[in-house]
Amino acid sequence: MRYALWLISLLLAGILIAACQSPKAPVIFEEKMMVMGTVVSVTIAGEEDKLSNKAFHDLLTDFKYMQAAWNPWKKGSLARVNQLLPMGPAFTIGPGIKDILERSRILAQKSDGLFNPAIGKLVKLWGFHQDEMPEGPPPSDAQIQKLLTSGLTLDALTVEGLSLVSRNPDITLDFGGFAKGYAVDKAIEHLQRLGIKNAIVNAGGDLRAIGSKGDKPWVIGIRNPRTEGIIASLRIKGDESVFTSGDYERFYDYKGNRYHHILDPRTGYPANETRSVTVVHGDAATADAAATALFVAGPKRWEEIAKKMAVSEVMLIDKAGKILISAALNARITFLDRKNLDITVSRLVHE
Amino acid sequence: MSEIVKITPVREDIMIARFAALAIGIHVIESLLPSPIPGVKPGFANIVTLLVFLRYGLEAAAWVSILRVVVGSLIVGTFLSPTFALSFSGAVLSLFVLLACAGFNRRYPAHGLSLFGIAILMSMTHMATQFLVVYVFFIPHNALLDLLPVMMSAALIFGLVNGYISQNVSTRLDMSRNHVSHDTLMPSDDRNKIPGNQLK
Amino acid sequence: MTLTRSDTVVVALGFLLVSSLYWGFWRADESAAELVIFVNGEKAYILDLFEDKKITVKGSVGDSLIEIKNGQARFISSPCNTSFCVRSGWQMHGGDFAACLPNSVSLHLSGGTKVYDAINF
Repeated sequence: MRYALWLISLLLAGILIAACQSPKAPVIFEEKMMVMGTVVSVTIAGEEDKLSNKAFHDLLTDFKYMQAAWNPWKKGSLARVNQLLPMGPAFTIGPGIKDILERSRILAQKSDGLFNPAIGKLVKLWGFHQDEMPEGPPPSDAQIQKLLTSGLTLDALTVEGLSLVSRNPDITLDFGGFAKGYAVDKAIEHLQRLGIKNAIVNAGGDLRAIGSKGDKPWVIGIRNPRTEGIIASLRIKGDESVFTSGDYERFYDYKGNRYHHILDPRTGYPANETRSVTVVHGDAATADAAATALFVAGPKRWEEIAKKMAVSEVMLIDKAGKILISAALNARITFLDRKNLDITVSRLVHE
Repeated sequence: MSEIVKITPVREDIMIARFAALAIGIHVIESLLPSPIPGVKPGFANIVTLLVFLRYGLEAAAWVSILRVVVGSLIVGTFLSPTFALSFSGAVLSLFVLLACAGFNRRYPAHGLSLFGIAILMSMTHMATQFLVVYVFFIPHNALLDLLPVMMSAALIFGLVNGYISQNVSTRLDMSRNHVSHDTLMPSDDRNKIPGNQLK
Repeated sequence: MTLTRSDTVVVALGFLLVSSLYWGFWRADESAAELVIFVNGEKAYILDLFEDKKITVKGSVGDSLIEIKNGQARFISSPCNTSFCVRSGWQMHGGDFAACLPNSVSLHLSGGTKVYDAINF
């Protein structure tokens, strides 16, 4: 009797000690907002509710502002620029537009023009510029070729100080290919200015994460483009972005054909060799632009463009469902069902 | 002309004061020890309460317990703080449990509880009361409930430890007033046997 | 030191109580517990995932029909032309969500153990 009781006491003491050892999970704040045409989720770890709430509302304001400012056609900063560009003479632009324009120019150059914000008119022709999905029919070949021949490229634009002029009246700017990334970067910077060190800003599935969840890293699940399930998971190290461009995000079906929103600037048609591209990189703007560019590059040129854009962690799923993944990403990603996937690892040798 | 009220301590007062001092001393030393989880202390001072109860009855034990909480908090510096509210309510409810146990023992002497069982009941009541007060008045948050199992385990363990110690001490010091079997707690309710008791 | 039977009963009850507390509050729940439906960015409904039902949610463009069954939730129909929300099918884990953006309606599953801190897609 006596010994049994000692045993019970020890057992309970053991539980108590074990409970003390378990690492303290930090307070997690998670809220969602509907903005920028998608659901943006903000996760903050280890901060007081008051700060997290303020941060969330600040970001809501930021995103709403950015959404209005960068809409290519609806009243706002970019719409104004797009109105003035075809008219001819130089005009003044705000520092905000200048910054995003210059950022996009660098990325466009590095991507060999596969990421191209100068194709606003082409996007509009296809109907992907608006919030609602177009219903078809798709534009005619003649219409498309007419736009392409003029050479829709940022090279036709010259910026001097705050003055902008265009040599090609067919050019209007649409930053859709990296606007989400750019916005997420701004959001993270805002959080950092508020002193927040551990957070995730997830704009409709594309995210940037900083810090960690207590002493455990943030764990990101990557969803299969064709089914609902998760195909792989990734542990975030430090400050990283995970962006995916897919053919399932914005599209319409017309007469049995599917037309999605990632247009190949060279052909004027939706790029059709790829299902999705996932890029893991430091800043979100680059990750977003790279995901767009590599989607267009397709299985044939993705390695080349990835090297040029200096992104080393890439996963591309082609139209047949085959997975092409860079060695660097392959080393740290965990596929949930590896043996049932067709995976080819590529050594993107650069630097 | 107002009369100066002179309080002359009688022997029982002195007895209670001494035991209370002992309990307070234990309490203060215990509060200096670090604890892995805030609010979880072995509560060894309760041993004094139990032994006083065994020998001098419930009222004396109540005095010792309350004095321990009040004076202890004065010394440690938490008087009238939320911590105090917790200690106090915990102590009060534990005393009610003590009363209930005494009643139980009186009614069913054959199935009486020893100090061991009573210590466990008092310890768990104390912890549960504190938890309830925190939950209702201070932090009505669901995350708090995750702590409950751990706290109650601690209360159980420390109840076992205190019970064991109390039981042993009472046996060795032959504290049972009525010299009955040390296994069963039979509090003395024959107060006239306490030397110098004039107040009842 | 001898213990009475009552003492043993007390110990046993104490042990039982503590165990049931662990079981009650610490059990890791695999499935999600709650469905939160946002309309126009505001939390419009909070529903129990374990109560099967169909609910019509009025959004900015029309009515979205949402179904809850067996701890899972999905859009049955929605007044948008991509129907991405409907095509995402059944949502089952905490953190899963589906959204009909044109209609400003989204459903989110919360509660349960979260395997991933965020989902990329």
